Amino acid sequence: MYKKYKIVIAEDNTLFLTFIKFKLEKEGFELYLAENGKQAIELIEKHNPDLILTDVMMDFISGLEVISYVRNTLKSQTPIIVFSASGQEEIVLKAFHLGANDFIGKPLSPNELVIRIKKLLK
Amino acid sequence: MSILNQLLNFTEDTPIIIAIIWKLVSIFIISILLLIGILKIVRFNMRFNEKNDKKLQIFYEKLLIEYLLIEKENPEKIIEHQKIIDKISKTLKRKRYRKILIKTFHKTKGQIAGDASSNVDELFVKLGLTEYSKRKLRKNNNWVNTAVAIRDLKTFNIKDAEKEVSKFINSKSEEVRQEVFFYFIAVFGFDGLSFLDKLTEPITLWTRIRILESLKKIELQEFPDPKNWLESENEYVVILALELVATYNLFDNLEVLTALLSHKNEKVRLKCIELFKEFYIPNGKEVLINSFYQRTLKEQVCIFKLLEDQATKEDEKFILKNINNSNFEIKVSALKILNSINRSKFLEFKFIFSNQENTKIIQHIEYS
Repeated sequence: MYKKYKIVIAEDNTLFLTFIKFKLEKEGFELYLAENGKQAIELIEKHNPDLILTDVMMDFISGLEVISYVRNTLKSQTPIIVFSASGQEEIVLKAFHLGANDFIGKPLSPNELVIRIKKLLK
Repeated sequence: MSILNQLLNFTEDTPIIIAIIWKLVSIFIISILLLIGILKIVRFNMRFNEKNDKKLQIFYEKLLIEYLLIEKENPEKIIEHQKIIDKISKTLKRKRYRKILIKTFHKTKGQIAGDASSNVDELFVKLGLTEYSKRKLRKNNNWVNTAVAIRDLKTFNIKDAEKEVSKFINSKSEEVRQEVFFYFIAVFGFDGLSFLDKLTEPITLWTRIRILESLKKIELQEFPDPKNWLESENEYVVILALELVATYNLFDNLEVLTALLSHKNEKVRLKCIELFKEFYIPNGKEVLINSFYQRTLKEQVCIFKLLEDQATKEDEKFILKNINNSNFEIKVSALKILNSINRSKFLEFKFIFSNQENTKIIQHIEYS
């Protein structure tokens, strides 16, 4: 039976969010969208996704805090991809240290994002 | 009216100074009330415009995404694209709308890369926005507008604006010049550095750093020969060229590099000595030692730093001449070098030096 993978996307830039949503829906993923970290956590708890995509800089709760919550509080090993416009080494290292599986700097290629998602879901 | 008359008559029986004060107070109160009214109107207008701008931004974002997501394989792709272009074009007569559209384009370019990003560039051209940017350049009435226009042409990779942009290579505004440099590098890669052939204005340290950073983003290509830039009349171009030589290991022009050790500008000479220090360029050391006493103090200190890495036994005579140099840095350097090329000779100086300061230096070097 064909499984539809569930992905939670947390991104406060509506243009980017809409673009990624269109692209990933075309690839057959079931998407849940959050505009900030707080909404992202609520969606993760409710839908138990197969993968999480999160921006680093967001209102209320940042992407790094989302990663920490998923790994330390929910004790979940759900693959997490982080993206950020800031390519600072500090942030990249922190994201991996907290448990992210992959990091993509912005601007990012949607095709590349799809490949990385499929690789992690295998 | 009677109240007004009463107010007006109020001051008639009062002393003049009190009357003046009351009249001034009245004027201030009326002015404040007027200003409050004006500010409310301005605030209302600003909020109204902000709401409209937001709606417009969402409208443009939606159309842009639709444009980018039409599949290549879709047989009606051209028709769909044209419909979107027509919808957007209708709004472009107003300057404010164009500003918001270009802002949306910039936002999109900052978020996505790859094919989608090239499609944004393509749309920018199809909407005729290139012409608006070129028009700003032709007007050239304000450095801000010029810099913004060049930035837009850079962001959307508009190659055919090269002629218009190159007119600003020697602009008196540093901000405009910077945008020109980054336009050429972003759009033409390493070949874009040809602007250095025409540049007569200075390049600041910060701009040099940013140029080198931008060049790092370019995919591996053959680097152009920097010989012309090393021989430029503009010392800032020479200094940047030396940095390019160091970064990209461009050592085909050793004669030119050696000649720069005698350049008329001290900053160029210092930069060149640093290059020779880092890369062990043949004959450099000999040229520097032979001309040591004709050089400035800064250069002499720099030469000794070079010798700390590159001195050999053959240089011992020269080093010994400078053991008692009046400059502290040179003295310490000379002793360090002597320690590395002839330790026994160095240790003799423990007994030769009667000065306490010199003895302390020797002890420090001996045990470090």
